[in-house]
Amino acid sequence: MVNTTILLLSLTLLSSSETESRLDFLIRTNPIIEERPDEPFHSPLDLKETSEVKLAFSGLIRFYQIYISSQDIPSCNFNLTCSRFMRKAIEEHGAFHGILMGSDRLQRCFGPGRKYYPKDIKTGHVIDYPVEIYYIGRNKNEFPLPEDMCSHKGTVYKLDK
Amino acid sequence: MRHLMKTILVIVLYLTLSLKGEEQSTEYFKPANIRRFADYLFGEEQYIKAAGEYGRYLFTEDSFPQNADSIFFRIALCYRLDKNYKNSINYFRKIADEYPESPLLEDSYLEIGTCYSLQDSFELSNKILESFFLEKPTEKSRAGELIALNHMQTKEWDKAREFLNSPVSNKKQLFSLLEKGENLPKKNKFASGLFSAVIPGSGKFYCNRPADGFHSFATVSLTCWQAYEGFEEDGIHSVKGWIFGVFGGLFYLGNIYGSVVAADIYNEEQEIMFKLSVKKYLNENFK
Repeated sequence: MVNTTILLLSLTLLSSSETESRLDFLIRTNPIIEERPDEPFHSPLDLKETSEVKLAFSGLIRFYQIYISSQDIPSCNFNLTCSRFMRKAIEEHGAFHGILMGSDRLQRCFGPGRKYYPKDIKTGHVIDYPVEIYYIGRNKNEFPLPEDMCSHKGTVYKLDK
Repeated sequence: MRHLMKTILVIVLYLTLSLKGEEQSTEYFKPANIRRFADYLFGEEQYIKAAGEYGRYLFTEDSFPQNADSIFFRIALCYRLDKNYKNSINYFRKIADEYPESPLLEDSYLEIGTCYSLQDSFELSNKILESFFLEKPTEKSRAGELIALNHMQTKEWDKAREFLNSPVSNKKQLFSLLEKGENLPKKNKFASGLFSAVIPGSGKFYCNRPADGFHSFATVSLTCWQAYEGFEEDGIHSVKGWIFGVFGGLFYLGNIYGSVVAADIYNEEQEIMFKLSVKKYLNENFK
């Protein structure tokens, strides 16, 4: 009787731990909701910004992010999504450069092009160089290419390095 | 038979337990064993733990500080291999300052030079190496090798060649590295932009990004074709024509912009990869 009870107890414990590990595995391999870093609230009508053109374009992108992109699952290949990249580019380098940089980024965002970038093991997305690197008038001494990202092209890379 | 089995079992148990007891009586804190453990950790590439054990060994060893230079050297090496160059330089300097008669003195100076080189302080590295090894022919070839590598990293090819022409080891490998550095493949950003202006995506092909080039070509040509169709059907007032036209134009200009930047990035990536190959050579040959 005692033996049977111990056996049953151990079986229950074993099966429960197995279920838990399987569940962990499933969540890890098939993330239904991906964790994205919270975006700081940034109103397109920020009074610090004085350029109307910049305001208009970053407002349009913010509208897309809040009302259109949120209706679908995240599908951008990159870690800093294309819309965030474009918005950042517009804010930092103006509407003209920002739109062209964003347009180029949209053309780089597709499956076979992933091999040109290091891959983030946590999210499965590829990591692009920072926005500053894609600015045509970049000061190389101020914004050099990140060495470790360069050597990890097409391979796994830890973002928090 | 049963009794015999029992006796054998008892003997086996006794032997096992007595052996275990003997094992437990090992003196883990004997300096020789600490040293062995530190060497084991070093061999297992657990450098920081190994440095700690070497420090513990120094603390327990009676001969300290007379013969401590070899242990300081090991500790410094541990920090160097762990890429903690600041600590490493401090320990190598300790040997240079406190043990001027040590047989490891020249190696220490060489290691200081290597650490500065790995930290990208090429001028400082050269200064130390040139000042110390000028009069010492024994390690001059190794120092010359390192100075040549430093000049390669600062793109002073002639100076690097000058040092390589003096007697150095691994001459063949170093010359191939020098030639690789001198003839790094470069892409002209104006040509890249021009290619993309003539045929969308060709600039990306030119910059060794064929997948991007193909995708850009498909995107620009499809949007422009749709715009053309829209204008063909409804004339200048075609909504489809204008929408696709604007997007096609933006993709076209964005592709030219991206091709110019891609050429720039390609050139910089080549330089970085060369620097990394020099660092790899340093890590493999200077330890």
